[in-house]
Amino acid sequence: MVNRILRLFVLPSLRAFRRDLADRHFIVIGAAIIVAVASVTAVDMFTDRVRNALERQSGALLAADFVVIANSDLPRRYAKLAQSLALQTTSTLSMRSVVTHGETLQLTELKAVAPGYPLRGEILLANEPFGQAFRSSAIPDPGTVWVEGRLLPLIGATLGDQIRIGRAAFKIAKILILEPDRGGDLFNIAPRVMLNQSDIEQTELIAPGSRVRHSLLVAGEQLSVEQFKAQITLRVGDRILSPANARPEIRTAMRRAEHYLGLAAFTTIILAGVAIALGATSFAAHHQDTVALLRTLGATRRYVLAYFFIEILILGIVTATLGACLGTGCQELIARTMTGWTQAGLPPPEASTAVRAALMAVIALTGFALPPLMNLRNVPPLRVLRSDANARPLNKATLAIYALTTSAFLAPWREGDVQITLWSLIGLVTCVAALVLAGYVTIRVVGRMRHRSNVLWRFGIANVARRASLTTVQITAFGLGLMALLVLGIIRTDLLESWITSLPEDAPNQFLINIQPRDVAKLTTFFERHQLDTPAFYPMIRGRLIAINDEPITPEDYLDPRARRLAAREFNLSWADRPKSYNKIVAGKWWDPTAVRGEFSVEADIAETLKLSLGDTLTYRVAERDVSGVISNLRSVQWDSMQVNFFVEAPKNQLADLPATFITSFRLDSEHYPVMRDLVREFPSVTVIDVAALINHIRVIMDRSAVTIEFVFIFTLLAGILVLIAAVQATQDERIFESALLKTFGASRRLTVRIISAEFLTIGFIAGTIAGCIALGAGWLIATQVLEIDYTPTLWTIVIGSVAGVIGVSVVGLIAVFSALGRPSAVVLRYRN
Amino acid sequence: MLTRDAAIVVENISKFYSTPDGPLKVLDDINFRAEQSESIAIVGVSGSGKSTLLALLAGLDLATSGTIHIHGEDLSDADEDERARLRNRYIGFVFQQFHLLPNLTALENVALPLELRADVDADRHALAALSQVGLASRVQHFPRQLSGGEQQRVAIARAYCSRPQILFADEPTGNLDAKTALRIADLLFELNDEYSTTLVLVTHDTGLASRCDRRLRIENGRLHGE
Repeated sequence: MVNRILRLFVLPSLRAFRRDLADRHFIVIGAAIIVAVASVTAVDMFTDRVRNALERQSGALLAADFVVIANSDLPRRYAKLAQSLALQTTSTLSMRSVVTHGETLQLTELKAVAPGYPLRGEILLANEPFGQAFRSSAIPDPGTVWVEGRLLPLIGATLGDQIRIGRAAFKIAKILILEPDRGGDLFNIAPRVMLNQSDIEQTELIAPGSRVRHSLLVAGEQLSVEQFKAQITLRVGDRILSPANARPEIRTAMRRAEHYLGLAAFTTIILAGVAIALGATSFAAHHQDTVALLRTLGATRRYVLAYFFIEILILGIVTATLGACLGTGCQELIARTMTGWTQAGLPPPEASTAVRAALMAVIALTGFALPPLMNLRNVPPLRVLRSDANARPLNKATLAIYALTTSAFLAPWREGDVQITLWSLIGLVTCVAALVLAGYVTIRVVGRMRHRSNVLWRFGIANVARRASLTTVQITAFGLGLMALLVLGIIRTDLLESWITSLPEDAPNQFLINIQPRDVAKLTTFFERHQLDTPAFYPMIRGRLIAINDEPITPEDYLDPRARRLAAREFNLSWADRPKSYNKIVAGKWWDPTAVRGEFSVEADIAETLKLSLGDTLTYRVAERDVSGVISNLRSVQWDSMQVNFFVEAPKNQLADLPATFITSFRLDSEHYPVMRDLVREFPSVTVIDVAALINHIRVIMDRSAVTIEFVFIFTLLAGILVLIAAVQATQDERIFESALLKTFGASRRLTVRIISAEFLTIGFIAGTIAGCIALGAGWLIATQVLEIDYTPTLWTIVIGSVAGVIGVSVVGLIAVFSALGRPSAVVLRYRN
Repeated sequence: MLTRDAAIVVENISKFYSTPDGPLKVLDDINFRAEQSESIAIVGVSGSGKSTLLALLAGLDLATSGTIHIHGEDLSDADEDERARLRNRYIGFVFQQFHLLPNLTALENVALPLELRADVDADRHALAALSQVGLASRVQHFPRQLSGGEQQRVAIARAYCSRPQILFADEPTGNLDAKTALRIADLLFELNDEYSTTLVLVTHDTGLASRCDRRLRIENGRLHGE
């Protein structure tokens, strides 16, 4: 039985596969699969790896892959479970405590670390405040501490001095520049002091009732970490921290990159699908004679179907394997450029991604290629005697449903992408419908104009109009390809630009907080004296939101954990008479500074979290005083810009008489770093926060993502070119035949080329112009609604679309028919007959 | 009443095509029978309905009315796939256009009908058939590497390779020069004699037609014996 199937179906199909490797339509189908699989493999593998790397990176922000936090001693079973899963563990103790140096006291954040800390990320130290940072692979020696640079001026100490913590004395051994799990809120914490956990007992700080945070840090293989997460049963009150809460600055950049890459990969698949569908249609048309003969010689319809299905399946398997290899190679190439991005390097790619991509290719092939191939079984055997006997054309509506279902199958439905995917599919259908309609109408209009032009154009345009149905298909395919390339191209530029503008070279890398009002003028003078640009100082007032529309609020009023936290903590309010140039009012209006009524400007995201709307009345308690006002506008804030931003702002006259400190941010080049030592000395009460390392980190991620985006765009471009080739090939034979006829009637080769060019130019112009118009709107939608970046629509898009259409279609079209134009007419005509 | 155990029995066959101007009658009440190993030429002017009749006899198309029996099996009752199986079992073809698959070698073209029967010795039989038509040295050549006469010999080898009981030939010499045409006709009749095949030949060529046992003329869709 197996032998019979092999002999009857597989071997003939294998032979057919080998023979058809020279068939240009078959090549287009294969190339489209290779491009689609390579693109999906590269993007999926790469984004998976980057996501994993980022999780680890975020893990680096936890100093582990997973952290269990408790307010009392951690039960031993937690560590035992981790060890049973071959996970690495270490622990930390954190508490607030006063350190003393001589007579000076300072509240600090103590952290006692055990050997192995940190499991992820690294500690940066320096031998002097604001000195050259170096990595440390150890923890503080017993009897020594590492302290944050800003502590020294606060307590008047220098490196090597003794400080007391509880009942023990410690030598300040190093300056702590950066520790992985420093926490997200850089502005609300006391200076860090890190000591060895073995010293904690002699400090006698831990007593019943002390507020100590015990953390168990866990790291290891992703699977084991997942198992740990699943198996751990926490005591009441214990909680976990996972890398999901990564730095928002990095998350935003990566989320956009992932959305873009996902969109590009999906677009590539759809374009490849269009190329496959066009290629398969032409392939099927070319094989009608073969099928008629097979059926004449006794092949059943089922045999014909199996014959081509197996052949195309073989093509799918071979090309999907090639594509997966190519994609793996490409993502490895991209990954190599990422060297140094993460401390741990990118985790290895998962082979399952390539397998998944190959499966997608089989789906794409089945969905896009099968309908025309299935229709081959309907070719009447009578065709061996009458060449006009064709299979009944496929129902267009059925084809459309088939293609849409396949597209929906292939679309990325990952968590977080669902809405985008849904919109992409709706967009796809709308674009195709618009292209079909616009293409058809334009062909009709152009067709009427042909009598007004010269012979050359009349012939070219006549062809366009004469093959109205086929030309509409071509225009739709060309248009879809061009539109996808235009949209992704424009957005790519806007996305990259948005990164550059959100984090320009001169983005602030130093924050000064806790600036007393009296120090503002002195600091201004300080900056002038050191020939530095004086930054803007912003007031900062601590206040707790106590009522919305006069209804008192409590954290329990909210289900969302973020909303609960926001309702529980104090906000940094600020006052301003003008909106900050880098904030955007998204609803309502900025206030009139002279108005007396209470008003607030609220950051849009926080308003959504707390379910606040324009016109709501908010009441804040600031220093025992209640301040009320209505929300008169909502602002969008780019948190990754490193500029000073506030969740809530109010008019100056509303908050000016309340106790405030000031905050500023500015850019300091590395050669000016010594200035900070003077600043810290002169203004001991001012807290300096150095975010240069963080900024560098974000910038590296953005740069690498930009490289990836450029890389992936090449795949989309290739898929677009394949669509052009496949669409041109759809009518290639007809054009070659017509050219042969023209030559027979005395037309020179040059004239023939010009006539064909006229037709391609017309089709290219129509497709490109329509694509440009649609791209203009689609680009705006995707940029503003999906990627949330600024987008400046420009009519150049239409011009670029038209020019790209004319050049692309003409070049690909002429290349496709050029070699055939050299063939003697007699050969072409005889072959046709 | 005609007995239906002959190679071909045609009864009251008519064929109409729908046109915008109403039904177009192509064949009108055709009746004839062909015995095993008999050779019949169907002649007539262009458009007389010769090829349509051939298509109906081979089950490539269906008659509007009437019945056709091939070795007792009713074509008009059979669905498309059953007709295909009947063709594979009983019928061989030689066409004016040769209809060789361009991507298959001569050997593969000849072996094709046998492969459709899952014949394990397809290649061996095909090689023998090609040797018989004098093309043993061209087995690995593709159709484009062969002359018109050679291509038609490959087509004849393909037709006889599966040992059909009936061979339909549609203008088998129509695309060939006179000298080659003569050689091809000789080959066709030699093999027909050797295998006792029923030969139904559609041709304009009176010389070729005269070599058949019987000639049937079609005029305006009606059959006239000669």
